[in-house]
Amino acid sequence: MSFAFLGAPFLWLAPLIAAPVVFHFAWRLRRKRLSVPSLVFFQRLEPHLQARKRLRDLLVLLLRCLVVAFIVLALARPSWSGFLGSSSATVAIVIDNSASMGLPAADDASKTRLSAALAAAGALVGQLGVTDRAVVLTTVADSLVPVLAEPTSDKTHLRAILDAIRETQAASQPGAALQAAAEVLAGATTTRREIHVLTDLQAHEWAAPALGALPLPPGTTLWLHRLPGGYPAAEVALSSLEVAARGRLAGRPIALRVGLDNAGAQAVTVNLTINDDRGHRHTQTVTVPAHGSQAVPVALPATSAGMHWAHAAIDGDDFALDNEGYTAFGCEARRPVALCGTHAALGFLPLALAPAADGSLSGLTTHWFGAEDLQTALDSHPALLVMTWDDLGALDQDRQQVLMHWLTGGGRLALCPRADGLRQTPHLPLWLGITGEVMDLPPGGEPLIALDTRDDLLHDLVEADGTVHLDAVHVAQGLALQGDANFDWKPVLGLPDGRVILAHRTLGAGMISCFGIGLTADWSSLPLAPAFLAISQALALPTAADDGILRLLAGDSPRLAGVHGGTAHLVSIAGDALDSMVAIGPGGELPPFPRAGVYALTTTQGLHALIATRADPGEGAREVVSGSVVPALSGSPYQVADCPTPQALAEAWRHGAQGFDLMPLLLILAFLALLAEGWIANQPLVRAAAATTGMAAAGPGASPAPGRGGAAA
Amino acid sequence: MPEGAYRHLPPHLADALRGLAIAARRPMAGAMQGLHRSNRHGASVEFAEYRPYVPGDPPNLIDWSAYARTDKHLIRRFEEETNLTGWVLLDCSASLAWRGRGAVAKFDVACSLAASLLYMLVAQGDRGGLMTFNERIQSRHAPVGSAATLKPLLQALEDARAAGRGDIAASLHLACETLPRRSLVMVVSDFLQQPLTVLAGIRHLHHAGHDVRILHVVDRGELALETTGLVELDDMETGERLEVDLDEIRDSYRAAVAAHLEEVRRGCFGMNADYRLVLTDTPIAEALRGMA
Repeated sequence: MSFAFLGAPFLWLAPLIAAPVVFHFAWRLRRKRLSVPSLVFFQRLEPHLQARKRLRDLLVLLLRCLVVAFIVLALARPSWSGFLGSSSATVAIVIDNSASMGLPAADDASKTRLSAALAAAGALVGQLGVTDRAVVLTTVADSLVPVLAEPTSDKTHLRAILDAIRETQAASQPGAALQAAAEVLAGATTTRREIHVLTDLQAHEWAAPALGALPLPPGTTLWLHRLPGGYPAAEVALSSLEVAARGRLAGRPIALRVGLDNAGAQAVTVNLTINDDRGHRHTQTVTVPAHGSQAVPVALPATSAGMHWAHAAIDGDDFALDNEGYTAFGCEARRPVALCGTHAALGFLPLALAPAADGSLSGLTTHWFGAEDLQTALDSHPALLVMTWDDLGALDQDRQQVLMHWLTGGGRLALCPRADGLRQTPHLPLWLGITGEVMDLPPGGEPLIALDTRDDLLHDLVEADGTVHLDAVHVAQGLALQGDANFDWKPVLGLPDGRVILAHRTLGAGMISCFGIGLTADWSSLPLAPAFLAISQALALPTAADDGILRLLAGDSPRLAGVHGGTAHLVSIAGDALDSMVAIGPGGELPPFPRAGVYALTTTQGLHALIATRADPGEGAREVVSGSVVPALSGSPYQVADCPTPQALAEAWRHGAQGFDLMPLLLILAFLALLAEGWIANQPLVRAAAATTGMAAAGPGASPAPGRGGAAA
Repeated sequence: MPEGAYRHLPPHLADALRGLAIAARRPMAGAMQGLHRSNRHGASVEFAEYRPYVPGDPPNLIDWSAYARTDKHLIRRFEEETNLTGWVLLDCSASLAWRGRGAVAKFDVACSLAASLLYMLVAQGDRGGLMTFNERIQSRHAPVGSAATLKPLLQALEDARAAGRGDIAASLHLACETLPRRSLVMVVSDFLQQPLTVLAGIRHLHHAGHDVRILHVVDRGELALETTGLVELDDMETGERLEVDLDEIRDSYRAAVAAHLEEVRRGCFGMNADYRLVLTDTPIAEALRGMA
């Protein structure tokens, strides 16, 4: 049995119960004082007049308070369920359609938890009475599932909705589902309101964070029906799918990094398959250690400029719903690199930037020009301008101004000493803010080390532990760079004693990088090391800025920046088939995507967005909320029931259907109290017999006759 | 103090009282020959009764004409006429101080009645005494028989104040113990006590042979209770308080007052005591008319 107030906000009127008392005392304050010769006449009326009046006043006051109390209580609509009579109900059936519900059910391994939940929900629907109404909701919004605007008593419709529910690849969002259920029930007029959630209570969905106090309508009973089940012996999830942020140029292989997590106690070998939009397919076998992760780098074949997607999937474990993911990325067209000087002067740098001159390997093409053609070279919008210190120093003022202007607008400049030149200090323009000093190094040279491992130029060389390995690079000769303190030069590479060999600084939106060594083997072994390739590419290709593609987990609700409301056309490009109009929230919120896929979205305002989703990797986890305490619901009343077979759930529903609405009874009591108050208030304080005892028939104006026994009046 | 200085017996009232008289209706015990019937038989013109002659009676008292008619020796008896001693018992309890809509308080009227009664007694050659009481006898002024000796009594009335709790019955019982012989007893009070209790005191006076006259002083405001609304009543004698809605009990109150007056009146009638209801707006002389 449970007791609840369906109109609990009216309980705020409870202080009005004291209003009669307040009025009573306020009225007493207005009483007058009157001296009388004697109270004998009043005592003659009724010897206990004062006591009677007090008793009557007390009773009247009590009854008035009761009238107000009964009315307030009636407005609050108390309902006593599980006792006497029966009442109609509005039920929100919330089905957990997260990926974990695709795991085997407890009683029958051939069935999933979701199928068990749907069977139980179907049984509950079958028990609904003629006046009962219900709505079916899911913990993961799924466009495949019809949404009811309001509860219905149409069982056929309800069963059709249940039949449409499928497992998703997302995690449950119990807060949103219960919020939706509460909103549905808030408009219900029935005395009984119930929410039945059929879920596996997976810990990462229900353990935290706390949802806070749910806005459950008064009188709502929240039932959590736990569906336990079996767990996969081998469970590997696709935990990440990342595209390299740098160097997405046409003709350049795309670096993809796939993360795999093994939550099981045994190492699992799975097949990883990568597909892309160009039909390329890559498959490899990966062994993921027990309770460990495995990062798998994959190079997607070079592609053309434009938007592309890739799909990663694994097979070989026992739970498939968290095994795939999509990512999308944009590729730019091939970019030129402007080289000023000669091959001899620039050493291996041109080769490192563009191993194939047509850009088929790095996406960069090389273009040589003379210093006098600087303007022409800059007009080709090169990704990088490479010059020797001497050539830069030889530029006239006009060209230097042109160069500065280009750099300020976002150009990137790489400087190095002439590889074939003398070890002498060049004449650099003052605006550069750096000088070089010839170093006197021992015959074996000095090792080259990274001075700032977090620098963007070294990004591709950083190991998982945060270190940068340059593979025993030594410097035989060079110039120690000394940046002017006013120009914020950042050292990147140098010698152990702190002398700087490579540094860079920004100029406006652009960047200037400066080597202190010629880029041939005579100066250093760096041009021969693999690291030189990565550093050289990084000189030309900065980390890609946000490409506007939303990469999400299934179930996430993306938010479109700068969009406030309206609708959008959503079409799936790959994965989960979708072609529908969706509503955009006032803050730009989009509905969650329940499954992995790539989606193109076009808003009514003309905004285009690309969305790539992957399965939630946590759905294969074994941890569930056990016991009767669900931390996520700590702010709300709820009840947890285990293993609801369809029959058990139907029986529980029949039991709970017994309810009693106390509102009519309270209104009757209020009316009776009002009648009693009126009757008592109008009861004469004085008994007529007492007042006229011994009186003949004389009124107050009647006077005895004069004379003996008469009056002189 | 000049005569006109008495507030309760102004000259115009004294003039109005000149034609009025007080006569006893029961035989009175007096020391001197007077206008009133004595409780003793004696020499007067008022025939009383015949009784048989017994040895020892003076033979000249035998009515020979009766002997001729009845052949019995009968002695003719005559009422003895004596003067009257009247006592005015004035209630001085605090309730008399109440004044309703009228110009004067009940106590002023009561004092005027007492002064007038004393004046009337003296004026007709009788003697008048004064007792004041509230819950017991407060003062006792011996009867006087002349205008000159009346002044202290009138002055006592001038000085009297209505105060204290009242117990009319107890005071009447006490007075009865102290009053000498058969007297004319005139009780001036508002009789705000349970009628049965008050009547017990009056009955005591009556049984003692006194000719009892009751002057019941009442203000019209007491009868009507015209104040409205919720009031806290304050008993002038006891200080007791009572919160009541007057509109709610007015009719019952009026009925209770009427019943009270009627009960006192009937009780007095049953004891052959003269009862007069004196409203405070009634002229004193008119209220006392017909006291004979």
